[in-house]
Order: sequence, then structure tokens, then C-alpha cells
Amino acid sequence: MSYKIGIDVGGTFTDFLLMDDDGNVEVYKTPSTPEDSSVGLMTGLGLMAEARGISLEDFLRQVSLLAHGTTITTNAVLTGTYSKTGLLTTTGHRDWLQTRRGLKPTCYDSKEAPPEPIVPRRLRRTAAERVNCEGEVLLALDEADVLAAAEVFKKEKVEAVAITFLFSFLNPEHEDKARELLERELPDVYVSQSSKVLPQVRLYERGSTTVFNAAVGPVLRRYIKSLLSRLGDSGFQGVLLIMQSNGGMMSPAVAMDFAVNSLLSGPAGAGTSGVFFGGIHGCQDVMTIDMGGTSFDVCLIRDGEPEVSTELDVAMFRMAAPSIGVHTIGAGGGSIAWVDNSGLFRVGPKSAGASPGPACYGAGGDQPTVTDADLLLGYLHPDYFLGGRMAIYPDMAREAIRLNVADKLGMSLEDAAYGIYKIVNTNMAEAVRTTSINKGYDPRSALLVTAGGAGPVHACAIAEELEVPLILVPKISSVFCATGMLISDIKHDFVRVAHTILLPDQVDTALINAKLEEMKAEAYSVLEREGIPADRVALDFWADIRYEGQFNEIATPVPVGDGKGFGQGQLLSLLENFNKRHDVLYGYSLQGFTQELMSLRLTAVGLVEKPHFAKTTFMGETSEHALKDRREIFWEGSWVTAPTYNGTAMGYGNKLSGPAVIEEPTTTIVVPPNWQVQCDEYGNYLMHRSEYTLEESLKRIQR
Amino acid sequence: MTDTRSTAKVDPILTAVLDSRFSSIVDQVAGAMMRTSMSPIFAEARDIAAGLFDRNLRLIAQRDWLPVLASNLSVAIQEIAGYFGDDLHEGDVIVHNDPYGRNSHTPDINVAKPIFHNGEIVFWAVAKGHHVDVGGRGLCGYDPTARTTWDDGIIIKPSKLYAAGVYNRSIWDFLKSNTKIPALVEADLNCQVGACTVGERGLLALVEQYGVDPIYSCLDELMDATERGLRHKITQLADGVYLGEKAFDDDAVDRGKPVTVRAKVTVAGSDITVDLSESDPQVPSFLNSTWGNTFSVANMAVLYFAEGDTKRNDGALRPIHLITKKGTCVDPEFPAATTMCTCTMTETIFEAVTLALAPAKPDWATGAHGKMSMHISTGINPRTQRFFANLDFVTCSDGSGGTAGYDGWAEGGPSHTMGQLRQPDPEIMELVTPTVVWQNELIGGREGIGKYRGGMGATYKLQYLADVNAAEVGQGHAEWAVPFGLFGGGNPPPCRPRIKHADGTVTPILINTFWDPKAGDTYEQEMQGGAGWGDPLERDPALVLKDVLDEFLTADDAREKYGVVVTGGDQPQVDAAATTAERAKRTK
Repeated sequence: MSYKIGIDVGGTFTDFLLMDDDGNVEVYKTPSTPEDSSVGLMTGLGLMAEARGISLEDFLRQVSLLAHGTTITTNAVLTGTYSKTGLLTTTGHRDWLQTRRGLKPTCYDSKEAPPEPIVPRRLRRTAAERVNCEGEVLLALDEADVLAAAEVFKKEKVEAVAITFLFSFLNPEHEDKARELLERELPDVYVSQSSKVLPQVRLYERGSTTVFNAAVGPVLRRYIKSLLSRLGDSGFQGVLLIMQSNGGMMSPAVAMDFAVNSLLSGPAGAGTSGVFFGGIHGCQDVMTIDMGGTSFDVCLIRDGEPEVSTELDVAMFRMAAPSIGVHTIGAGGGSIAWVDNSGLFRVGPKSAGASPGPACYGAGGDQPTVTDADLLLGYLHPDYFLGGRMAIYPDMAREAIRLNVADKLGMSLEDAAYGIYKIVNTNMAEAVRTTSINKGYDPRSALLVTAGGAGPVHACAIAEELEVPLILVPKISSVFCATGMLISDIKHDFVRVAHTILLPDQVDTALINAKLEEMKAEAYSVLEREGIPADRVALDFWADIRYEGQFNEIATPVPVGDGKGFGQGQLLSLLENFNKRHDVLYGYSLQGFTQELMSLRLTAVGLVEKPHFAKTTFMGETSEHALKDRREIFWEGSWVTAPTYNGTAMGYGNKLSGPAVIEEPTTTIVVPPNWQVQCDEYGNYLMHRSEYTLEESLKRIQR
Repeated sequence: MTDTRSTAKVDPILTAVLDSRFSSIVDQVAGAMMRTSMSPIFAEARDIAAGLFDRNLRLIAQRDWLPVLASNLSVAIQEIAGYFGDDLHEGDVIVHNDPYGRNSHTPDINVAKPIFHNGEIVFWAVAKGHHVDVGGRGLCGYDPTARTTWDDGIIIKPSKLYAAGVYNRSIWDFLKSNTKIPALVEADLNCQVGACTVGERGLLALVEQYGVDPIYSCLDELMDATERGLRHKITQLADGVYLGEKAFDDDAVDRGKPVTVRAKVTVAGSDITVDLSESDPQVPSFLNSTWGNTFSVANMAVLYFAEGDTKRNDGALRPIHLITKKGTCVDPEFPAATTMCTCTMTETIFEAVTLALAPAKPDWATGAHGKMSMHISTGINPRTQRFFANLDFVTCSDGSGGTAGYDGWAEGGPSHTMGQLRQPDPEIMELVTPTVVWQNELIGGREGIGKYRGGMGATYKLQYLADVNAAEVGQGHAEWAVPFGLFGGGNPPPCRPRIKHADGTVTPILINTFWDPKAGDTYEQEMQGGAGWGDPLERDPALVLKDVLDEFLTADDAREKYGVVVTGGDQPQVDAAATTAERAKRTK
């Protein structure tokens, strides 16, 4: 037997999804070990060996793939435990990292401190040099400046240096030279240059991304080396792949050079996972939502591809490398409900977090939270919290809601609790809306895939708000991202500046074709080093286009397949695509207006062999065998009796109608009146409004 | 028109729901302008604002990307809707910039769209932005030699760009034939129209989902709640009459003679009245504030004082009252020139109100932001053969003021931008304009010192590669015009913009003048930091050390300015005992 394992190292838990050759899956969870994440990871692998009654060495010899996502770099940034980093930039431009293009998050609030830059000012050194906007050298690099900076870095014992010079994306000569000098002077220091990390225009965006790469580079390198050695010592001979922010995997060697690409490694698994679960039912448009204790993540999948963003801010600094567009808001089970000083009812963004946590935890929290409301409304059962492993106190939830919300607004306790439920649902639905409708994406024709412990309690309400016809709750929703990692391909993004006017008589097709070829060659070479043969490579070309004179571009697919060049025919469809997108996004298009190409992008995918989940056997339509008991739940102004079901006993074919509650060990699914549930072949729950059949609901979202 | 108050029962939950929806719709309106504009003023700097209004023209939500533009929308919409009365139809899109018709200044063009449902107006969406040109001799609208509003630019009374959905060619042609860069003006108007359409799509989806009446009952509550919250804050100020005054450099005609704005602010219960009628008479140049702009600033200054979280809707306008006198620089008689109202006049009115209110609640007061002395250039870029208009927002990167508990921000901006203006990217700047940005970084010594110091100033060197036209507009050159520190906090030094010629000679630039750089000339300036708050001798020595470590402050300055003794050469540290002794000696 051989195994493939998806691993998601999170802040609290490390999740594992183990799959054998036959597609049978097992879920494991171990506490994360932040001081050295490889410890918790090895513990988990040990548990799997133990379950089989074999030694770790014997087990690892049978493991062919470890697909690994990690929040190590994310946490390093968020907690300030990244490497001590220096920055070398062009003389006269020392502070772009600190001033972040001059934006203060709130306008009218002066009681707010700016974020501390990752590189303090004394470690931001400069070198005289200059390349102009055409890539010509205006001022030669002063090597003495570079050496002086190296002295400071040496004295200050920096572990990493980022180099970002103006216009290096047009001419990297000076960055290359500075890197050579720094590597010579500082042999153990991790050096990163902007023309390699993200060769595109805009100093702060390119530079901040490069600084991130340097700051987390040694952290990730240390971890990967430690992990590889532990795995090697224990007999592992398979392939280790690291999840990137862009939703694809990379080899450990590439990861060590482009550590910034792992900044969203954890949540990025949601994208692939969403594609997978949508794919089971033929759905190309999918939204995944993941609601935990403090945050709510949304990820959009359009035409079977997760949305990609280049405008992500991490700890208030820009990370402009392509990443899965995971939109996060502060809404979760721990979100606190309150009445503001003008008498408005609000939920969040403050959270009681895991400690003290919701009032019902009895751990000192006295503020009412979403979890407290869910408990009072009967959605959560006091005796079956976390599968019965945690004692909770409904009285404390009741008191907190009465005192802080119900009495202040003159509402009944139920109405107040239901208000909390509704408001947090709206906030979450709004987050979905801003990431969907605002991007010209219609949630009414998408599948909503719901993960995270608290997600399925709220999924139907969110779906109603957005008029989403169908929800899927994966049987293994608690290891949703680990699932994504297991089934992700290797993926790399490339970008080249390429400016030409897109008019039939002016377009520089030679330039376009040359840049496309250049990126293609680079892609094949990187993937080849990762063991991907040319016939397993899929290429997607994109063009950043705008109306001539605009300042922002829209990424538009370039209609060239692998091997075919770009010519007049491709030009017309490219322009038409851009016009359409412009209208959808911004309310107008300028037919006939000159368009210009600014840069070309390539997403190169190395297709890996996908594991196949095993199908389960048909268990019949009735769910009676799983019925546990009945309880009262509050829905739209009144208490209704809801049967509760044991989810672990349910399987393929089982159906039930709301109101009902399904209890799984790590989550609870609330099925409101007028909703129906049916388990698919893999045991996932499909939920839809009763006025449509499952087939009708599916038809509304399949294309 | 329908009655203002709706009688339906208020649903607190739907109210919270709608609040979040309106806020995201207004974001989309502003976002559509930013992302599609062809002018760096909209697209890079975000010198734009958006607002949503109800059928009674009450403000529902606004996006403050440029706060002084946004806070004017509430009165501009009255002018726009009032002009047409019943002559409004589905598909109408209206353009307006009239500075004597409750707009801010001429370059800020409003585009407004009434949104219809079942044949009746249910909402309005408004998109506003600073255009690259509005005719006249000015650069990006700024003409230091302007003596009348006609010199400032063309005046657009409310006019329909689209009448019942039909493109009104005459008005578009009129606008294009009276501006110097018609293609850019047309492009930005298009993006404003598109932005209103984005707002219309969002608002109509809301109407479809919830219905008009339930939305309106919640709107009343949303606004009333905001009003209650703000009134609650105002009651925390001691009742009384507070006076403050602030001058700017001069009126650009009678050089060296300060022009003063005088604020008499009356706090009575939960109301605040800002009376500016004792301000100096109107001036002959463009340094007057239109009533529409003065309205905007009075509200901004009070809300900034009252702290962060007040929502910007009609409720926030109700407790604040404005009194002005016709013929003063804050409410000039037609046809005075007014283009500097959104900058210099805004800063001056803002600071006069802040200085007045500061004693009413010292902990709430924030030292003034740095004053803007702005560089503007236009011309043809020989490299691209394209016209460029560079309203150079690098020269808007002043520091903000300190306040109890917090230093000012280096990226806080002057008080009319409040940290919402996006700074230009030097690479984009060089790709668009014939320039080399040799220096743009922070600099110590331009901030007002204090227990909480002002944000750092910045230093700038921009070399021209072609002959172009330029202007320097704003203030902050005279001692009396710099931002004043509060409660013992210090003032930043004055601005000193200058031209360094290719031969190395230097010519100072007089504020509010045209000057024309030749190829090889370098524009140099240090942007002003913010004013300080509180006694610098009470500043936490650890914060002083941090500025030393950051190379903003020398050890000598630490002792002289803050009484903090820093030793240790290139491993700086605070000598606590020596600091205590030094401070004790100085406070005697």
C-alpha cells in the first residue's frame, strides 16, 4: 500500500488528510508546535504509523507524497518573529517601506499608531545608482555604498537582505551586482532582489513584496531543512511539496528562494479544495467560506479556477505577488455583539477569541458572542460541544446577551440572540458579496462550499441572504485546506513588462511572442527541475490591459494555446474580452478606444497525478437510523421542534428535511425549515431550498 | 416629494444590515472611478469622493478618499436636484461644478444620477473628482493670478450629460471645447458616469431585496442613531464660547500681509456652532473659500475633534451649525476667485476651529497637520509625445499632528487629505512625466516637537528633463502660517521650495506664483511635518531613543529638544539619571 498525505500546519492545530491507493481517507489532527512545526508534523505521522501497528520508518517508506501547507511564514509576519532583515535601496528613496504610499486606514481617527515597518530605518541603507524609465543606466552603481551597507548589516547581524532599486524590473544589472557583492560579504545571509521576486512596475508594491520574501526566507529555509532532515532520518523517500499562496504547490528548493509565495500557504488550500468539491457535482463556479473562531474567509472560484489577487495587504504591508484571493473579515464564533453609543446593534469586529472565548465557555468572558447566540437558539447542544469533549454553560451565555444586548435594546432574549445570528450572517454575506458581485460574479449561480467549525451553523442563512441555490458541506470539512493541498498541482506565476499599443496596425506582435516564449522557457525549466515532464505542463497566458492612459489594468486571458503564437486574430478577441470585463466591473466601456498592453503573465501548471477519493455505498434515502433526539430551535421569530441526527451514521443517499440539526464531531449543521439535505457519494452534505429538488438546484449552477 | 419620516416600525437588525450594504456600495462607486480613470489625480492619488443620498437628499453614506471633497457632497446635491425640480427622469446624469452653487471649487466636478424605481426617484449616487483641467490659465485648475471666478475656469451649472438615457452631445462638446485637455476631461467624466451606474446597480439590487419602505424606515434610524452618538460626544465638552484664529501667508497680491480666519465656536448642550463671520474680508486672488467648501471644512474639523467612529450620514450634520458673513474670505461675494479653497483655506479654517476647540477637551485635540506648498506642472512629455498634468501629490506628503497618546503620522498628509491621498509612485511618475525623482524620503527636524510629536516631514528633489509649465500654490512659508503646536508642543519650520538650476545656482520659489522649469532644473522642497502636542520634556525617553535609532534625531537634538541624554555612539542608549537631571534643570 502507498499513501499520500495533505498537511495543513495551522496556528492551533496541524491537520492531516491521509489517503491510500484505493482512495480511502482518514483525518488526523495534532496540536501545532510553533517553536518547530516539524515536531507536531512528525507526531501526526507517528499516529498514522501507530494506527497501522508499524514503525514510523516502515510507514514513511510507503508514503509517496507529502503535500504541505503552512502558516509558518504568515505567523512570523503577524507576530513579528521574522528574521532580522536589512534593505538596500536607491539613494534618495530610503523610506517607501515606512510610508506605504501615504495611506492611513482611518480618516477621522487620530488615536491610532502607524504600523512598524518590517525593516527599521537604521537597517534601510541606500546605494547611489539609477536606472531610468527606459531601462538605461543614468548613474552607475556605487559599489562602495553597497559595501558600506554590508558593513552595517554585518554589525547588526541581519539574517536577510532585500535589494530593491528603481526600475530594476527593466534592467536588473545593478541589483545583480549588489547581490553579488552582498553575497560575497555576507555569506550566510539570505539575499533577495526585487527583479527576481516580482519584476513589475511600482516601487513600494514590488519592494514590499521583496522585503517580505527576505524577512520570511530564513524562517522557511530553516523549517524546510529541519523537516527534510527529520523525514530523511525516518526513512521518507517520497516527494515533499509546499503549498503556495497562488493555490499551487512548489518544490522545497523553489520555496526556499521564493518564501514570500508561502505567505498565504494555509488558506490557499481552500481554492483547490473548492474546485475539487465543485467538480464532483459539475460546478465550475464555487464560493468557499470558512468560519472559525475569529475569522471568516471567502474564496471565489470562477470557471473552475480560484480568483487570484495581487493587492493583498499582510499586517498592513503590500504583498503583490499573485495569491488566491482569500478575502478575510473579522467574523466568527467569537465575534462580540454590542450596542454602540448611538444605540445601534452591532456584531464584531472585536472577538473574544479562543481565550477568554465566548461567555458560555465559562473562562472569564462576559461579552456575548455569536457562539453564545447559537447556543441559546438551540443550534448548538450544550452537551455535544466539540463532540461532547468540552463543557459549556448556557446560563452564562443567556446572562451576557440579556445584559449587553436584550435589555439595552428592549428586545426579548430570543430576538436579541437571533439578531446576533442575523447580523453576523449579513456581515459574512456582505464579505461574500464584495468578493463576488463586485467582481461581476453572480452568487446565485454558484455552489457554496462551507468549511470550518462554525460555518455549517450559519451556511443556510448566508445562502438565503445571497440567494445561493445549493450548499455543500464536506464530510471532511474540518480538514478542508489539507484536502486542497493533497489535490493541488504544482504552479508558478511569471510576469514580464511588455508595452505595446493594441491597434491592428501598431501592435508589436513580435514583442508579445518573444515575451511569451521567454516566460514559457523559464516555466518549463523550473518545472523540469521539479520533476515535471513537458507533456504534464499546462500554460495559461494573461495580459494586463487598459485603455490608453489609464493607470490600472484588467488581467485578460490571452487566447494562445501552447505552441500557437499571438497574431491579429488573437488581438480582436483579446480586446473584446477586455471591453466586456470593463463594463461589468466599472459600469461602462469605451468601444473603439485605443487599448494598451502593459505586461504579460504566465501561470504554468505542472499537473501531478491526483488522488481519487473512494465512493461510499448507497445507504438508502431514509435518515431514521441516525436520529438521536429532538430539540427546540429558534427560527424567524418562533421556536420549532427539530430532530437531531448523528452525522457519523449518515452516508450516501440519506435525505432529510428541515428543521433539523446534524451533529458531526467537529461541526454542527443547522437545516432551517424549507431546506433539504442529501448526502452525496462521498458522504458530503448537499443542502438546498425545499421548493426545488436537488436536481433543479444543481441545474441552476451547472454550466 | 415623499415625507421625510417613514412610519413603519424600525427593525434594528435590518438597520445594521443596510448600514453594511450602503457602505460597500459607496466603496464600489469610488473604486470604479479610481480604477478606470486616465488621470493620476483620480487613479493614483484618489482625489475623488463618492456619496449616496436618499430621495429627500439626505446623505446616506460617503467615501472620504478626499475628505474635503466628500463633506461637500451634502450641499452640492441640494443644488443639483433643486436646479431641476420635477424635471428629472430615469436615465438622467447630471454634471455640475458651480463654485457659487454650493460646490467646493471649479476643478471638482460632480456627476450625479437620480436612481428610479417604479417611476420614482428612490436614491441618488454622486461621483466627484478633481479634473486635470477646467479651462482658464490655471494648471490643473490652479491659477495664482486669477482675480475672478471666470479666471478659475468654466462654470458648469447643473446640466444633463444624459437626458433620460440619451447622450447630450451639446454639453459634452461644450465641456470638451472649453478645456485644454478635452480627451482627459471626457475620460474622467465617463468614469464618473460609470461609477454612478455601479452605484445604481447596487442600490436597485437592495430595493429589489428589501423594498423601498422597509429601507426608508431603517434609514431614519440609521441617521438618528448617528445624530444621537455625535450629540452624546458633544455633551462631553464644557458649554461655552471658544475662540481661535489662524492666518495664512498672504493673499498673493499684498505680499507679506497675513490673511486671518477667526472662529467663534459655541458649545451649547449637544450642539456646536461654528461662527466664522469675523474672518478677514475676501481677497482679490484665488485664496477664498466658497461657502460650499467652508461648510465641508467646518464639519470635518468638528468631527475630527469628536474622534473616529462617527458615521458620515445626515445625522452627523445635524448637531453642527455654521455661520458665515458674505464678503469674507470664507464666504466671498460672486465673482471672487476661489480655487485654493480646498487646500489653503481648508487648512486655515480647520486649524482655526481646532485651536478654538482645543481647550474644551485637550485630550481630544490634535495638533495641526503640515501645510501644503504644492508643486504643479503640465506640458508635453517628449518621450511619450503625450500631454501630462502633474498635480504633484508628493508635495502633499506632510506629517499629521500629535495628539494625547499618539505621535502624528509621517504619511498623515495635510488636513484636507487626512492621510487618504495615495502618494505617487516614482516609477509611474517618471513613465508619465519628463522627470527624474532623485529624492523622496522622510527627514527629521521638520516635525513639531512635543510629548507627542508631529509626523515627520519629507524631502523631495525632482529634476525636469524638458521645458514645462509649473506653479507653486498653497501656504506654510510664513512663520504665522506654519501649524501651531498645542499645550506646549512645537511648530514645524516653514516650507522653502526652490529651483536648483543645472549650473548649481538656486532660486527660491515664491508661494502662489507660476514659474517655468527648464530642462535640467530641479525642484527641491522639504514637506512640513505635523505640529506637536504637549511639553517635549515629558516625552517618553524610549520614544526619543527610537527617533535617534531611526536616524531622525541626533543625540545632540535629543538633549536640546527633549532633555533626553542619549549616549553610546553608534549603539545609542538613554542615560536615565542624566536625563532626569537634565529635565529637572530645564523645568525649573
